[in-house]
Amino acid sequence: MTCGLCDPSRELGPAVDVAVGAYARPGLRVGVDAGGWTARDGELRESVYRTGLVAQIHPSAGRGLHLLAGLGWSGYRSEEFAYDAVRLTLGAGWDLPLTRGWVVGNRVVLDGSSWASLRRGGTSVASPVGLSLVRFAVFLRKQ
Amino acid sequence: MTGGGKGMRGLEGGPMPKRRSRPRWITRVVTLALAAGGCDSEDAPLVPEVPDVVGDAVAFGTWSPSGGDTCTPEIHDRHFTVGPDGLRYPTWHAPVDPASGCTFGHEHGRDPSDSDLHPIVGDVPFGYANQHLEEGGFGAPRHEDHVGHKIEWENDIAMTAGAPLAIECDLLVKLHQGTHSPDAYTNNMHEVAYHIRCSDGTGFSATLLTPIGDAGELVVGCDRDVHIAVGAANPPISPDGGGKRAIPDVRCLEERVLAPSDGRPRFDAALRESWEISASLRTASGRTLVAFNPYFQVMDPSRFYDDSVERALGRPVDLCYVAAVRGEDRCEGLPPDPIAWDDPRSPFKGVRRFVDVNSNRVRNADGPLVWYTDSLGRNGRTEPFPGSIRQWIAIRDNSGIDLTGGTIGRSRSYDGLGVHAPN
Repeated sequence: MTCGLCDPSRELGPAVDVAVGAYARPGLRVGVDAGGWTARDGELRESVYRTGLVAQIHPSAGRGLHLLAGLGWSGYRSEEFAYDAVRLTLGAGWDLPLTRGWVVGNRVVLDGSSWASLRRGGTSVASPVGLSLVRFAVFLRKQ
Repeated sequence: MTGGGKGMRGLEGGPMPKRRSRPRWITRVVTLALAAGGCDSEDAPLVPEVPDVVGDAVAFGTWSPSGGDTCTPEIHDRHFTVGPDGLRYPTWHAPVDPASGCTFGHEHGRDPSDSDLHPIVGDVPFGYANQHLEEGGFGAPRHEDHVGHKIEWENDIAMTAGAPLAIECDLLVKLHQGTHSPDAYTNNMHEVAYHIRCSDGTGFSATLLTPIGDAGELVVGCDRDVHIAVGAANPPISPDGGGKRAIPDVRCLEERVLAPSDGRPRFDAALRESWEISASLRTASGRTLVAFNPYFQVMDPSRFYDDSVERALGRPVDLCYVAAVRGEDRCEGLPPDPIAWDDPRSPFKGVRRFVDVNSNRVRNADGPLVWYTDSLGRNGRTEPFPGSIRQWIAIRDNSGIDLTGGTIGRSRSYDGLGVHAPN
């Protein structure tokens, strides 16, 4: 998180993401996704939840490279702290055929949010606050 | 004069200062320049005009040498600061007079001149709240001895404020915490000067006599459920306060030193005193402006409560000459023949201290920066009144943040050449 009072250090933790969608046209998938991330910071647990729209495009037909963009909501929670903001997601990845119907791949994604308040027990303690999440992912997708 | 001028600037405010990267004389010049400008915002220190000396406070000139102390009262009284009232007050000095090399036999804790807050708050006057207690409407005086004034400070304390926050504070605090006499057995009103400035904008400078626990009684250090009604407090009208004064009684020494279950005497576990403050500044209507609750701990007091001896003053060093304890734990290295409780060689002279900072609350969103309270921190108004103390409080409400600090000073000992109980 970034703000005047925020601890800027990054925490490492597991994340999970699921998405459903369809091909809008060849090489362009659109859908909705949702996911979460969590980590322990000392005795506290921090979590980030997200949901929104996502689009994935293959700029070059027949190649594995794809780009990803999304727009949605991110929510941070840690004990009494809460933060909710609009999120923009950008990323890129590479598909590898696994079977006839499935592909695996890897992906790096940046989630970014800003212009919202960090609240504690309903009281704003910092504003504006930015939140960013860098995700390194391995995914499994049905063709 | 400690600090090299008549510039007592205590009881003042200002933002958390930048880290010191320039010579102190420059800092002082800058501070004084700001003072001349009379700034009244959160962007600059609030520095009242330094008054001319008009007299001496009751607390001034009360120390006299004892035992092997080699300094004279005159040398001691060169270490003073001038309060906002124009009176001379004693203030921090080293155990050894830097000019003459003589020894005072007592210490006042950590040298505040290295604190990042010192350029803002100046030297700490000892006994300022005591001085103005009656004038502010309290019905009796309360004066404290000289040696009990103890300073502790730390710069850049990483506060615990919740997972996503990283807040640092500078803290400079003084408590009168005498651990050599029976005073604290009954008397719960003790002067505290508390200056804190934090990176989130939280800050206040509070000076008051705060009642610690109930008057007339102590809480047994090794069994907090046991309260001992010792007698009438001084003054008898001392109000009860929050927190407690946890002081060892003879049972603690019996359990943990004379007859420990594992045979190993542990003086620290038996003797540890914890004065747990619950202090606040309040408006005349009773609204809390600031609240703080540090715990002041002393590992090596020179007394414990023992109602079977004169003045109920047990002396830990006497136990070092009990056969089962001789040479053990803190008694190691003592001479074979008994030494007196006030011998500088005693390991029990109240020099190993630390402070648990704990929480710091500010509820002053509507301001102003400067409030005036009585010596008990109550009856806060925006204009001065007879006997009032000027308190600085940042215009802020930090109710969303549990601004809690850990322990400072844990690894320090303030022992020095010639230091002995009473200290």
